[in-house]
Amino acid sequence: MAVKNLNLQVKDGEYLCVIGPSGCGKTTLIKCIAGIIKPDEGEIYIGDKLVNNLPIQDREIGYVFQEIALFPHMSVYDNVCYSPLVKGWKISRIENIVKEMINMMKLQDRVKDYPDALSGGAKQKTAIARALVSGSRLLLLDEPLGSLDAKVRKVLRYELRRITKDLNLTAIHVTHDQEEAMSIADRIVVMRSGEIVEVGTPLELYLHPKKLFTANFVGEANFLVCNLIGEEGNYVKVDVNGKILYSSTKVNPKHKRVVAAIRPEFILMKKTRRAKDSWKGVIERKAFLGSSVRFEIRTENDSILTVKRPVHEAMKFKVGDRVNLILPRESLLLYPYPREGLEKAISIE
Amino acid sequence: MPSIRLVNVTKRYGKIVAIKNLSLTVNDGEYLCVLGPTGSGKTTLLKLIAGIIKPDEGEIYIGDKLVNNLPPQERNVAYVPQQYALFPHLTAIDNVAFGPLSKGFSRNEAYKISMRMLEMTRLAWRANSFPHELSGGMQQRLALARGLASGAKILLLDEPLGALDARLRVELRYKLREIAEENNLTTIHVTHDQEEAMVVADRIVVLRNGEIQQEGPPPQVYNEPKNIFVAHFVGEANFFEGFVAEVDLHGSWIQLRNGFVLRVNETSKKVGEKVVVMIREEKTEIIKRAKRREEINLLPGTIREVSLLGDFISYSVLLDNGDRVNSRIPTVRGMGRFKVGEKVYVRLKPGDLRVYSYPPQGLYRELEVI
Amino acid sequence: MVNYSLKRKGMVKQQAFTKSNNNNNVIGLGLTEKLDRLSSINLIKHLIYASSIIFFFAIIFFPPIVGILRNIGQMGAIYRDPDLLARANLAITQSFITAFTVAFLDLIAALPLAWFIVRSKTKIVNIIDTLVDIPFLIPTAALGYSSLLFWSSRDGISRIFGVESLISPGFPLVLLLHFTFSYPVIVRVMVGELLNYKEVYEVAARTLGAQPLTAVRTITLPLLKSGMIASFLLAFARSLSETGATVIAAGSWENGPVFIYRNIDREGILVYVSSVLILSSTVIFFLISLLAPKLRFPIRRAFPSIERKLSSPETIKFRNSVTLLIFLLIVVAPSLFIVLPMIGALLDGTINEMLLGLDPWNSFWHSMLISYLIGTLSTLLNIAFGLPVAVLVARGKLGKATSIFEALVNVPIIVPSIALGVSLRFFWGGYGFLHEFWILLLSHTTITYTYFVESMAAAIESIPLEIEEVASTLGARPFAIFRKITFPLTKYSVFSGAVLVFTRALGETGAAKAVTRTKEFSTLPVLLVDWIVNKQATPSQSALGIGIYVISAFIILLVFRLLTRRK
Repeated sequence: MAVKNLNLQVKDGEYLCVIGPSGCGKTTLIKCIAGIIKPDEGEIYIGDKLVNNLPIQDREIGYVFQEIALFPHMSVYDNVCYSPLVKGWKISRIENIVKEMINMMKLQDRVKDYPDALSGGAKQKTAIARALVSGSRLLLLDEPLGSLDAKVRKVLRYELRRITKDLNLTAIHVTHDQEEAMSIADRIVVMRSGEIVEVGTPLELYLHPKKLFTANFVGEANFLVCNLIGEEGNYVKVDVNGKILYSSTKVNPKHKRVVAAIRPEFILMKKTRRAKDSWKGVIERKAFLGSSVRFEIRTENDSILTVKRPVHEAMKFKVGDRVNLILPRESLLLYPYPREGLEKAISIE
Repeated sequence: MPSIRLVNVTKRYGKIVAIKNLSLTVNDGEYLCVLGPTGSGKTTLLKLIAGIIKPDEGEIYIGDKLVNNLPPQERNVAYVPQQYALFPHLTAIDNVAFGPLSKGFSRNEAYKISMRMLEMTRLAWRANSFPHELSGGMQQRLALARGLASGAKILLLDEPLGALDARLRVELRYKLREIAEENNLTTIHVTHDQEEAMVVADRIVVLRNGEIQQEGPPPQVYNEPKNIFVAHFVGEANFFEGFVAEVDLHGSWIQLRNGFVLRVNETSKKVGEKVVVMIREEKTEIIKRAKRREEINLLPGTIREVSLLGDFISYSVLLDNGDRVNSRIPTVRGMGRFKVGEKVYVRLKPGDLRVYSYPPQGLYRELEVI
Repeated sequence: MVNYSLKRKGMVKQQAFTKSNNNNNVIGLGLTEKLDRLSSINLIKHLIYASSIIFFFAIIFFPPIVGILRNIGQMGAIYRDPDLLARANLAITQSFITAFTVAFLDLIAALPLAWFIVRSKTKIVNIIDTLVDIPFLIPTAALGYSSLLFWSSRDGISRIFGVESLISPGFPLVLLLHFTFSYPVIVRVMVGELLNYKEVYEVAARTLGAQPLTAVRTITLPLLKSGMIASFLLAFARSLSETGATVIAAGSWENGPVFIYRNIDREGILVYVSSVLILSSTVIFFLISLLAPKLRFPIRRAFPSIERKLSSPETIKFRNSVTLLIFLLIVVAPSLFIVLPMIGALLDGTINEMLLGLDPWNSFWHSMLISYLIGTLSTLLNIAFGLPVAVLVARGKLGKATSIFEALVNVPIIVPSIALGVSLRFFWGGYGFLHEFWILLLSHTTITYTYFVESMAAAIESIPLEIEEVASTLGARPFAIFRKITFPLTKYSVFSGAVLVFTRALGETGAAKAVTRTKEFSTLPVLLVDWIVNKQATPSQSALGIGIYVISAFIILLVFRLLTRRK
């Protein structure tokens, strides 16, 4: 089953990203909306219209493909003209709109070129222009940046958001790249094995992911299996292999075993001894990431934690240093231990 | 354990020069990343070292041996191409055993080695599967196991993580480095993803249109980019166009658009020279109020966009002079600090600013990635 | 799905990647090791390629050209007989008119069927797919006789209409016949093209608001242009070249091959007609190849409302029905019709004569032996000398000269085979010491060479170069790479290429007729055409003979299917 009993509402003018690992059903979902695939059960509405039996060409959507799919036998200009042409618009109207779109996407120098002469980014911009010129209010993007270089992706994704917002469109953007989704989405839908795991704004999913899978898929996280001890004031007390930690997440006391998750960038690292919360450890690895540095710490009770610090802070630490880690209570999230086991629950393959 | 040396190597395809007079040394046991955009010549470089193509000019040495005329089967190099090129008609273990068998190992020996390789890459349980039955990540590991099975000490990886999901890429890049370390390999890992390169490399070589732009350890390339292309391609940076207004003993004053002025520590540029000033996004500070009115490098502007990047938040500021800058702040600190439309100041420390000559084809062209 | 098509357009059956036999025979190991080592020696490599190139030029390419040129003097004879000359010129013109018309009609009729096979989701697709191959696999002489009986004889379709003969032998019958046997060629090529075609383009067009028909007209067809041109040319060449069936169906009408057939001993006019045919077919062929790609589809205009109606399910059903009707009535029925009289022959005792080897059956069996022998030997020759050339062409090892070389390799199938036969008779006949059998063998090899090379080249091209490159970095020498990688992955194509060559050789009438001097060396199709045209056998005997002929061709296919099914 590619998609299972899925319910989703997309707001007008929203930039929605659907993310998930390969095979999670996100492409199937977007193809159903477009009419390329027919659902076996259920209804799809665009606006107020039930579109289940409406053929692709009548659904008034713009679609951007991962393979880009520019018509190889047509120039950039002809590609962009295609939609209004086949819809029977008047030539003068077509010329105006196409010119406007080409300027908006900064493709003026390439109008006469054929697809095989264009760079990856230029191809995708043309594909976007072609989809938008049709006048559709809904834009569906299927891994639109997947075939492009990392740098090009980073620049083009903002273009995508800017154009859709400028034209007041609703966009559903499917991707496997969670950073891409976080940077431009109004809301994100996390999918896995045909089902929706969680929906929320980028910040919500980043700071307070409700599911373990989200915690691992959106951003990075450390996962610690621990025993629930009980409540202490406003906090919950857990035991990780002998080390006591506190969390501000409320969790049902019937779960004896829980998983604690904390993002590497939220863990504080100090050389001097501080609060009683702190966890002693030794730096085993250090990797320079540019604007931050990533550390692997082996704690005194043999847990391995990944810590990320901004570069100016991180410069003073070396491999082999003894450090104290502080896991802020608001950043330590608790989840009931999953039935299928931790590895399966967070696996992204 | 051999090292690799390329001396003045040139390779042409018809009129296109893929590699231009390139010289490069890779040391024993080093993990080198060749970083560059698509079409910069990275794959050609690997193929030259593997022996699949021959250089038009220059010499290639593996160890002390000049290998220009040595066919690939004699070079003992593990080459993992971009699409893996797994043999579709052979099972996983037969794929891995291909190398040792070709090199003359007995069947027993060859399959023993292969099993060991599969165990190392955690694929032993799929030994009898065919490539098309394996997931993307498994195929990549299989290609790796196959390359290493015949005992090669040089590993050439062409965009090894390119075909994988973003999250998987992040997880697997460390595995690659681990395997290289455990087996004492000299590795050349080619990629267009600068974050990947910086994380795994001992040294980075930045390639553009067949020419080396810069080489060095990641922190050096990142903090001291030699030209605008490197500054832009590796990491995120802001660029300002301007010209030199004044030069003194300790630095210069650069005049930007519409009257803004920046103080830099650079003294080598002449008055009147057109320049580009660069600063890393994470060094670009945003503050609400200036402490002192006369503080230098304090540029007023308005917040235009806020974007969450995970562990960083990006603020896009439209300065009052028309220039646009991005600032990266760790999410923990930057969350909710500024709102779209808010008037702020951008503060740039002179020590963080780098000055470059204005590129002949214009700044836009130089920064062009699309 | 079967996916044959000539000329590089999906000439490869979709490879089912099968398990390799892990049998390393220890005995063979020493020899293969030595061969591997030898293969990396540049000299040996160059020697193998050189000898195959020499074979091509010395045996395949130059003999026909030289044969004609040497005897060009004999052309003077034509001026002595102006009537004959006029007749010859008419025949040549008729050849081209027929070929153009047939190719054009076939393209229009076969394309919808190819579309149906690839896109339809109904169950009958598999049956249709199998049926399409039949006219392609039946030797053309047999097809000719079957068509003759179907359309012209009292017992065929004429019975339904209550006439003596619905379509008598002549131009219309030839047209139908050529239509029939070129039809599968176009279907196969276009099926291959459609399977390789990325449907995403059409989907993209539809998301942009194009009606399905508009999307096909403006996007799919222009992108299939090269496939359509290739299949047009193949149908064209086939019509131009075919002899056996045309002779049976021609009646008093004549095209080039029929004319040559009827004037096989008048050397002067033969030289004239052969050289004109060879020259003009080559020129026209290259003209079409160069100019046709420049034709453009009308893609700048759209007719939304009309095309919406034409895309409706009803229209599609109608179109499919018409296509299938034409297919079944004009292509399948005439091809299979021979089964009826053949069964009749089985029942009326003719089969006993045949098994006893009574006259004329003794010459029948003799000719069958000759045909099989020639078929097997030319297949082997082509594999041995064609394989290195296929590698050369597929991997572009001759640099810029590769495309020119490939064009030359394609010449033998452009030229009508009987004209080729005539020129080869002139060339090899000059070497009096050469036994007729060898001339027969060489001419059959020449005619089938291109088929094998092109199908092998296509198969090799479909293997990404990267796979062979990686194999070499893993330590494998060139011959080892061929043995362990290239051959296992193209094995299917080697076999299907061999089958193609064999059945083509078995079916060749024109060249065989031109080369054969004595009745002793008549190949089977030549003999059978003789029986039918010169009424040298009873209808029953002809039917049975043709039937056995067809079955013998099918046996090879059956063996092939059995061998490959085991994998």
